[in-house]
Amino acid sequence: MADGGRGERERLERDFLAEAEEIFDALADALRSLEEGLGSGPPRRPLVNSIFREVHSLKGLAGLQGHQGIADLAHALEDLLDRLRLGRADLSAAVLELLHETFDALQSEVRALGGPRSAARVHGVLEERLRAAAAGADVPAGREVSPAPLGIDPRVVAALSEYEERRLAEVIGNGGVILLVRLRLGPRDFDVRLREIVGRIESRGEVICTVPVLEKGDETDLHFTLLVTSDGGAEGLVHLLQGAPATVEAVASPGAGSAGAKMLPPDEGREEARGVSDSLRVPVARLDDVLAQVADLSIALAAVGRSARSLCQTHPVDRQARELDRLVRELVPRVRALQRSTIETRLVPVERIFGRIGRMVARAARSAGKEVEFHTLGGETELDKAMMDGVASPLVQLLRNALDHGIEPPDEREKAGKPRRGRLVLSAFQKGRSAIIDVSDDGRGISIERVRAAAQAAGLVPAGAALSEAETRDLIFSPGFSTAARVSQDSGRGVGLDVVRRSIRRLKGTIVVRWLQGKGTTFTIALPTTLVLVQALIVRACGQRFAIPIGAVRESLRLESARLRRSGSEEIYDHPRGPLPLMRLASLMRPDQEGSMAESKYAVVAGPPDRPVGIIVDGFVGQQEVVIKPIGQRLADLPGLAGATDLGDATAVLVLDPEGLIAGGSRERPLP
Amino acid sequence: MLVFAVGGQEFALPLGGIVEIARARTPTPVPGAEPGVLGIVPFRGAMVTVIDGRLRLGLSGAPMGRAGSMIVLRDSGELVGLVVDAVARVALIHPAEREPLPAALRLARTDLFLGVVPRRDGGYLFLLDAGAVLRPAP
Repeated sequence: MADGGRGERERLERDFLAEAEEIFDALADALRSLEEGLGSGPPRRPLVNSIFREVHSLKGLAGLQGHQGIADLAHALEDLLDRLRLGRADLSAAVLELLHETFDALQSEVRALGGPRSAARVHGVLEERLRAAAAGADVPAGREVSPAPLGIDPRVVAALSEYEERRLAEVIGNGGVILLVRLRLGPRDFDVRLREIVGRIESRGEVICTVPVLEKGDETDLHFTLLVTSDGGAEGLVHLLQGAPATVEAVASPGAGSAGAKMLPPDEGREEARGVSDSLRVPVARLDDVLAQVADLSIALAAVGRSARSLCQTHPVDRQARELDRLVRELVPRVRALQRSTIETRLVPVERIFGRIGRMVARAARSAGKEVEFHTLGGETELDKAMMDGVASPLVQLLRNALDHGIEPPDEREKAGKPRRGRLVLSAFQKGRSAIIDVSDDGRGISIERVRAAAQAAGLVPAGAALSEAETRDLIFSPGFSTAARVSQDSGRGVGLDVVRRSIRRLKGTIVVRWLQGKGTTFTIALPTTLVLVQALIVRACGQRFAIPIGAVRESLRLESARLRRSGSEEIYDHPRGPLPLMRLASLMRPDQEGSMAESKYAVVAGPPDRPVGIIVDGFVGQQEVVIKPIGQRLADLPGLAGATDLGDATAVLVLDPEGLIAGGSRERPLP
Repeated sequence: MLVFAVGGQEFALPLGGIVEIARARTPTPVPGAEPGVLGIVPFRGAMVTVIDGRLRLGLSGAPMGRAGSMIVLRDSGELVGLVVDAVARVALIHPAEREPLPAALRLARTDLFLGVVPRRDGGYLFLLDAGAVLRPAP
């Protein structure tokens, strides 16, 4: 075939993969709704209809692309769904589990297509069970061979779905090798790395299941256990996983029995897989290029505007000059609108991650032996694509904490007069230009006395220090608090929360916690919808301009010199509402030099409501909408900087992040 | 390759990674920047990290000011500008002309160079590895 034909086929295949991912997103949500409605009468017909339609389009698309295995499985699933929506088959828990398994199988098959080599999989058993279920027969249970005697961790076995157990039994029955891969991944980028590692394994085998495991003692990293079959055997897999933070163990092999485990040293600093979205059809980088070009255009236009204005001033009676000035002025809002809508194309509904997180939580709950129901609300809330990628890990961490420490075991809950099943709620809503995400559980909450005691034991606060309740709550986010694992377990919570807070801060968001002892805990995350376009206050300080996002500014002050005083090394302003500590931008720009005690005229008040700080500035330039651009990786990831912007005069102006600035300037300890 | 002058020496960079040659402008300093990074300037709607060519190439003398040219390079999705005294010309350099770095030169960073091309006047044209130039000294 000609090259053009091959290119076309590849393009079609890419389109198929993207479209399939969108279908899976929709299916994941629909299946969850189905699950929530389980037990309260027959399923809602529109819901089953929508699932049916999605599966039907998947079947059609797969058929067109010649992926017969996927099309066949989708067909069998479609038949079952057809009978469900016609009321000819009942939706039992077993049928629902079968739908989940089929969904998993379809998804892993489609994802394998994106890899270098797709492993041929046999879905005969699954198709048979679908047909049996469609015929109204009982769904046959698949637990014939138990993997437990293989020496697999019972927690992993507990989390296996029927399909996975069956697949495991099939492989062993056919004399295949089952290998256990343990992974330990950092919380920041685990999803990207997990995908990358699974991709590597699937280039020479099949990942039968991926189970998140809660490791006692390690509260920062996430642990996963993968059951894998690979044609290269243990050695081949060890080779394949070189450099990954993984261990490989053979659990079943035809002759040799269990081979010795081999440890591979973790290797950070490997190339990061790119976090390109699965279903956004336009590569994010291309969108960013468009955005940069639009920004460039608006700056060029600003220059034209300045020329037109000065032409007008030098020739005040020239009608043509006035006309030109008017025309350019009219263009400005249009280009601004173009800029705004370009930025809005980066926004995606949080539903995308909610669905994925929901499935992970369900698995983790099963492996932790907790009974929980998981609800999501406000999935339509929009967030910038980049924010979305950054917020997934902290959310998983918070939910994992809630599962691990918040929600009590069923018996304990019953004793406390609560329903046996715990409740986890992930909800989001839009508030102005921010998105608010709540992570709530109805678990045991946190004891404020214990937090105080634990913080004192960890040396975070001096004994007898008088802290407000808000300050005490804030302690659970301190790095020292989380590393004192035993202490924080006693107090019920606080593990890995410093990492969570750092991730949220990196996204220029805030996180606070509220709890009611014995009733539950809620973490509230507030994130700017986008980090790209913000209304900002432009100020002058240290001989240059800075932009401060308006959202972070509480108040602008003209300082009265009579109210200024010093207290040790700190400058304090006696604000009518209470003493206000001041800070100078000079200490950010030139931390090695002690800022000169020049006359302080103005201050911008920012920071948390209970601990505001005044940032001293020389003057205010104005207020305008700015496009925040990232500053290169070469420039230190300084907590006080959000990026840079161009106000139209070809000079970079640093955009400050007051929250980070204040946190960085306070006594927060550096990381070990 | 693009030939340019810094501190009285001639250097060459492969044309491949070069986006544009612009006039050097005063960068805005960024706190906490690594050595040799002067700051950032806006460029075509994005921000360019500006690197002092003299410092980066291990040449002595005062750091560069605003004079000269900025060679804008693309480096894994980011733009980086290398400030040099002057851009001279584009030259075609045959692999056979390239020689290993003379040991006698005693350079601060040998990892920067792919080799040299001897000049008639007894000096050298230094061939730079673009990737290494963009990384700070190890």
